[in-house]
Amino acid sequence: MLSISSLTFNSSEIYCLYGSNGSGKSTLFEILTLLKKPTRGEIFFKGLEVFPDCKGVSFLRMHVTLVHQNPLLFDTTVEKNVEYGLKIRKVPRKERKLRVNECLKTVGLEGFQRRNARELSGGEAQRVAIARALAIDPEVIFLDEFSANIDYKNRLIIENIIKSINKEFGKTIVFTTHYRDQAYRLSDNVIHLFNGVPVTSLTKNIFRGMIKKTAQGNVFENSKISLVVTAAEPGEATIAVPLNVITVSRGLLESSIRNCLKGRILHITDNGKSVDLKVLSGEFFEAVITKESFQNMKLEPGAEVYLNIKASSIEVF
Amino acid sequence: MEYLLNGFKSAFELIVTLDRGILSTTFISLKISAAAILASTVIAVPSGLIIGINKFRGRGFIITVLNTLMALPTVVIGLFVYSLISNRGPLGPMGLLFTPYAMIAGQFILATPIIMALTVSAAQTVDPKVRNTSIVLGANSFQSGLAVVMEARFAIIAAVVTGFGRIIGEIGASMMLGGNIRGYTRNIPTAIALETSKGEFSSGLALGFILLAVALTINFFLRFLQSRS
Repeated sequence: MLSISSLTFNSSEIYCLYGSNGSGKSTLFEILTLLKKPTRGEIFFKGLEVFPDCKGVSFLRMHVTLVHQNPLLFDTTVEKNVEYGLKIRKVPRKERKLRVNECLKTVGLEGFQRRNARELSGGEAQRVAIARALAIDPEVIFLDEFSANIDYKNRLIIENIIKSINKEFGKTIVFTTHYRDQAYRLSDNVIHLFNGVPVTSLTKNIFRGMIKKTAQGNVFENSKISLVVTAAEPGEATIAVPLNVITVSRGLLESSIRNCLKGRILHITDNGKSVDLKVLSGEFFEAVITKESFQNMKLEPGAEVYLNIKASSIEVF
Repeated sequence: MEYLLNGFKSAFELIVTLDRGILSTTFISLKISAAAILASTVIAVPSGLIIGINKFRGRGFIITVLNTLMALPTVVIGLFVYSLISNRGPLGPMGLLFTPYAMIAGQFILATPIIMALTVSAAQTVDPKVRNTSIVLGANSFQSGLAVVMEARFAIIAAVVTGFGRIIGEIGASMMLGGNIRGYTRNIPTAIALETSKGEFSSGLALGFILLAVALTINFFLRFLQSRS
């Protein structure tokens, strides 16, 4: 069962619904595309109510599409599959053909027009389904578990397609996955779904940047921070620094910890037994300390602190 | 044995020389069965799809009734329609008895449950994702229904062909409702029965061959369509 108090998707962004099997990701997609109706609540698309009032349903149908997990391709050629939505929109034949070619090129399947759609591999079928969705020029594309049942190579190809669709065509993309690395690699907005309820990210302090090989070892860098990391290949990366691996101190510590970031406390939240700190140290970091440590260090907003992070505790995606 | 061989020889001659009687009977047979199958298809295919795709109360009962009606004896249908259109029946004043229309009605009743039941099965085997996929690509209810038809097209064609096969060779209803009037309601099965009872073995055999040829042509056509899938 889904229980969502409020959920908003901004246009031209990539969102990820991350959660385990049975967490309600696919059901949420079916509700957002009105394949299933919610028992209560309201759904709006671009300011138009689509549920319970159905005023905006036809508008939603024309501008929002869903690519199912293990998508179904119609029992015909690839070309006829991709042009299906265009035919429904009564697009002239010549224009349809051009659009089909264009979309198949985007997903890297040029020359597949005459192929029987039911004879494609899982990865190819997934890409045809994306081309079919793209053909109708939607504003929003929901992609349900596009990585399921496809090999690693196709998975990476599709990830690149998603990025380019978002970047070149400005489409809003919402996808589901149960791979955490994929969630953070592709999306800036990861929504964790737990038993049908969106929860605050379990892993905070997520940063994007590059990993470079240096004399110190592998170093993650972006314009704001630089952190030594372990076990990672150079290149683009996303890192996560879990709250419980950050040691907060007033001065520099003599220890084997390789990352000591100087920062300033911006916000303090008293949670009873623990205290949450928001610290600006190039990027915004969140850390949690015990009430006792908080009192001993006499911390206050604006105070200078050091964030000590073990290189091996940083998760790299 | 000689009697049988002569029969085959005469039948072959009747067909090759395009005997007018044989041609007329064949034409009437095809005309009546084609009209009946057309009417049945128009009614049975959409109904079968609605029953097959949607889930509603009483659906199981309807499917059971349809399956039962598939085994309806042709003479029972003949009797039923006869009771309606005979002079003493409620539709008697319309004067339909012993006309091709009465035969079409009988064959329609015979074919409809067959086509409908087989269409229900065909629709049930179509992946429910077909409908949802077409909807998320912008299809309305009618267009998404068409997408289901396209997926089940070969099974639906097979249903129609099965229905046609059942009515083209039926004799009970045709005899009771058409009256076997030469050049008017005499179709292939009623003609075979008559010719055989008269001892005209070769004419009966020739008509039998034509009936088989029609069935064979239809099945070749079906196989051709399926092989193209």
